[in-house]
Amino acid sequence: MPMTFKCATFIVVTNLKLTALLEKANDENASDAILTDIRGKLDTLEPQTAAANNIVIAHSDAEFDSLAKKVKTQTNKIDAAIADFTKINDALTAAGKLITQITQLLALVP
Amino acid sequence: MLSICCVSARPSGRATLSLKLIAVVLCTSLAACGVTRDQLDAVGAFGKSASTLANSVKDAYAQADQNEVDLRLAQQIASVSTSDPAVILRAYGVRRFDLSAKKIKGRLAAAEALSAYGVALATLLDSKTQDSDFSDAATSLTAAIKGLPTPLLNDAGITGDEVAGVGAVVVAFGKIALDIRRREVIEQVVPAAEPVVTKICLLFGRDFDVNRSSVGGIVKSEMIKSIDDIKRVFTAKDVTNGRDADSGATMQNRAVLLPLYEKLWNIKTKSLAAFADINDAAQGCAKASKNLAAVVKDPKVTLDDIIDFAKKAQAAFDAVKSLSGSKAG
Repeated sequence: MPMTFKCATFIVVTNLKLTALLEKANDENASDAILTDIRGKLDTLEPQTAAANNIVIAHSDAEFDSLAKKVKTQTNKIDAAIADFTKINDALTAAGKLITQITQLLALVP
Repeated sequence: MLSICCVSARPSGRATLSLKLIAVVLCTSLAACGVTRDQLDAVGAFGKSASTLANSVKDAYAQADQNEVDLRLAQQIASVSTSDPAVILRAYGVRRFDLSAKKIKGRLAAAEALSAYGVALATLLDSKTQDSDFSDAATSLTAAIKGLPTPLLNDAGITGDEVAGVGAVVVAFGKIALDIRRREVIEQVVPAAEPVVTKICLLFGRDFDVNRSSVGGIVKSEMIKSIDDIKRVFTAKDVTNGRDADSGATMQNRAVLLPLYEKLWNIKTKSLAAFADINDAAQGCAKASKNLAAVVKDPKVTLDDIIDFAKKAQAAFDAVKSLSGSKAG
């Protein structure tokens, strides 16, 4: 099934933010529960990640930027937790919502 | 001596008309009078640095593409969630990201154009250059500029007029005797090429920004994930499919997982450092390209941006060289 560019962008942006959060969690010696939560979210995206990476690499910057801006407001809380790890719970909630959105986008593909 | 002549020929409020006329006549009688040493140095330094950056960019893409194999291998060893070998083999056949020459033709064409531009400028400024050398360099540059694919041009925001402008000027000057027209070549080629060159540099800057979801960010994400996958299975924390037997508790597993972890950590550290240096150099290139166009018009403009770019391009080159060394290690 072909993946839409919008969906690929959402996956790549979410992956970038979640892996940065995972790195931060490892640096902060976060609890197993937090690490499991972040890894679980990445696992959800995993089957689509390679395809999404390649779609984004093949598209132009301009196309990507306009879509990435739409995701940015939803990833602000993840960025905030990367800067200040005490905000991790809000970040995990925001990431959960993003993943639900991506799952819905994937389901829309005919 | 020549540069003093040129500077004094510039109109100034203090100079009298007769003095200016004398200076102009004097300069006109000297073929290369208009070219100051600083301008020549600036153009030459920019040309060499642009070629260095372009080559570093090409090597970094190629190295990242090779590193992808190691990342994929690590992921299939450490994070596989099935015990079916056929499924594992199939998954192993899917690239995590594809930076093969076939898939990034536009980016490689842009690097080629930047390199050809740098070579053309450096050739032009080399005192040993013969007309035929510059003609060859100009032909390569024209071919490289014309070879930029449309999606890449759109991506970088380069217009058809900008491409045509460079092509026309380069073709016209490729046939001109160097010794008497060097300044004219510089004065017209550099400003015509500036918008294209600046945009190509900015494009590479964005591509190697590891905090952006482009090539740099994608490679970084995959590296973090691969390293964490190893840590995850090693410590037997929340691994899928009940893979406790794969943990680092046994000597056999440690013998596989620890060298793999070490190798990926090394690749990650060097790659991210090299990407940061390329990003820095590419942004420096964009600044220097604008600076060069200004310097060509006015020799009194400071050369700081060009000097800064030369240092950054060399740093990026060294970092990419070290990156390719990490493969063997």
